[in-house]
Amino acid sequence: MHGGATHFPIAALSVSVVFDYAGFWWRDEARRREFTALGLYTLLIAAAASPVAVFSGMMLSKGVLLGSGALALHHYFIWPAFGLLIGLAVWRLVVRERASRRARGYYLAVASLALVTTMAAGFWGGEMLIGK
Amino acid sequence: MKTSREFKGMMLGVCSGVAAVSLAFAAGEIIQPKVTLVLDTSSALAIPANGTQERKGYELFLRNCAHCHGDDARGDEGPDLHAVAKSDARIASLIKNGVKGEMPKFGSKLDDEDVKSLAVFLRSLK
Repeated sequence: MHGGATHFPIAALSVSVVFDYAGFWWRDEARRREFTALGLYTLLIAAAASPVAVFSGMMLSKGVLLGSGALALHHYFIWPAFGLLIGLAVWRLVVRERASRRARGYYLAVASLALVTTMAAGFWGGEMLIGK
Repeated sequence: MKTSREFKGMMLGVCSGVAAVSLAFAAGEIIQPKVTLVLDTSSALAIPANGTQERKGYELFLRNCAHCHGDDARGDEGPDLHAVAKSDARIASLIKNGVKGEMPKFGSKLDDEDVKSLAVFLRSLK
């Protein structure tokens, strides 16, 4: 359950960040708006799906919030990633398309950080299953 | 107006992020089985010397086994691994094939050398 539930929000967040980068750099204004809107919707999907991933993980680990070894490394990354994902989704919902270019630049930096921490958490999650 | 909306969004975002993680932690506390905590520093594992097979087994144990058998190998969800009364072959078989419904199989994750190192480490537990 946890394996299936985690990959969907990871994929949605990755796609969202790619769309937002395109929405930031694309030359054509209309296309930029479309990419930004797609980035918002995929981010909201990722945020909506993330509690299922988190809850299924907690059920799997019997509520262990940190643990040890690879599980601890997984948790060191997943908790900040989860907080960042929810926070970013709320920021986007409040601001919508009215954010300044500068604010969107900061948003992209934080969203990229959220993606990297999510990937790192995913890596250590995978290490528990197939790594050494 | 634009800036105040961005600031408001940031404040709400930070609060929501912190609230989400706090809720998850609270849920974790509820899910966690309640155990009586016994503080006994003498039960902590001794770290084997670098470069030994026992050390390799210890590192594999921390990564793969500690979250069920406990950091000190004295048992948690899984049983206490001190003074295991099983042959090396049986230990290797258990690690590789697991126990249905109780312990996952590590046969595809750990090779024979890893399993042997784990067995050496388990034998060193007093």
